[in-house]
Amino acid sequence: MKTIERKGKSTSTIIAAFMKEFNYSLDDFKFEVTDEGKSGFLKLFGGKPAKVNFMVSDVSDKMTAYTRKFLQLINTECGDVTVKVKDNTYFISILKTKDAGFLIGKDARFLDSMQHLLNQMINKAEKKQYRIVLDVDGYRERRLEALSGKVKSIAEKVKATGRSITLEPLHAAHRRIVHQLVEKDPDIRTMTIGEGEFKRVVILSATKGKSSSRPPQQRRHKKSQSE
Amino acid sequence: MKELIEFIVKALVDDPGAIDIKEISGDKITIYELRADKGDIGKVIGKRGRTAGAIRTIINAVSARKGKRAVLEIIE
Repeated sequence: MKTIERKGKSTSTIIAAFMKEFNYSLDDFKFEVTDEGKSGFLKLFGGKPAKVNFMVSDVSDKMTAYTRKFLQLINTECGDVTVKVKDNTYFISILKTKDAGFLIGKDARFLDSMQHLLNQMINKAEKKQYRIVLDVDGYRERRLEALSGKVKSIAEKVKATGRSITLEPLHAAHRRIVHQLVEKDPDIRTMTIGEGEFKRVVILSATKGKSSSRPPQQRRHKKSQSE
Repeated sequence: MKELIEFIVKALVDDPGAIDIKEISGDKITIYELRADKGDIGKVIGKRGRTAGAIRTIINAVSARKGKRAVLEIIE
């Protein structure tokens, strides 16, 4: 919800001008008269301007409403729903719920499904592409920390040994994070192998030249032979 | 549950009025037959069936809490 303040001669003229400016109808906003103003009766001058605050709902309100409705329909106790915007991404957080485990599901499958559906529903309603990330009680943040810790320790190993290390299959969003983390370090680089659900990220040394850039499949093959 | 499927699907399609969901309850399994306008079927299914998969994940999880199973059938 954003609030816009307007001043003018009288409350009715302010509202009329506001509606004209944004091409709104009366259903599109709420308003609150903060100052009635003084017209000075018959004297046209010496009056005080009237002030009106307009509350216009934005897309975050819609996101909150959709999320709440969704939670209500799956009979989940809903604590708080907050929406934060950062870098064009909308972070919807479900907080203080007793059903966090249920809402996350195995391998975050429930959370990802709900996120996907909310994304589709909101983008359909808004006719615009918003990136929505759904989180329950900071779960995604915790996973992110764990992931970046893991990538860091693997990166150190790769740099120390010069050998590439293949990560387990990850979600697209997680792979993206790995690529971004590795990109910051000029000594290492990433590669992707596999298809679909089995896509994996390989972290390899960038300084070791051509010898280290041999296909990781070969290395894995060798390993399986020695086993 | 029917209400939940309706809420999701109607928000995805161009013609919400054409959405028709039939609930067929069995002992343990409930089947939801979903019909939509021809042009909207793709939106309900999604790329590589991702949207349909997400709806199934949700309704299965919700039914599992009641010790039941739910099947979503999208009828063309």
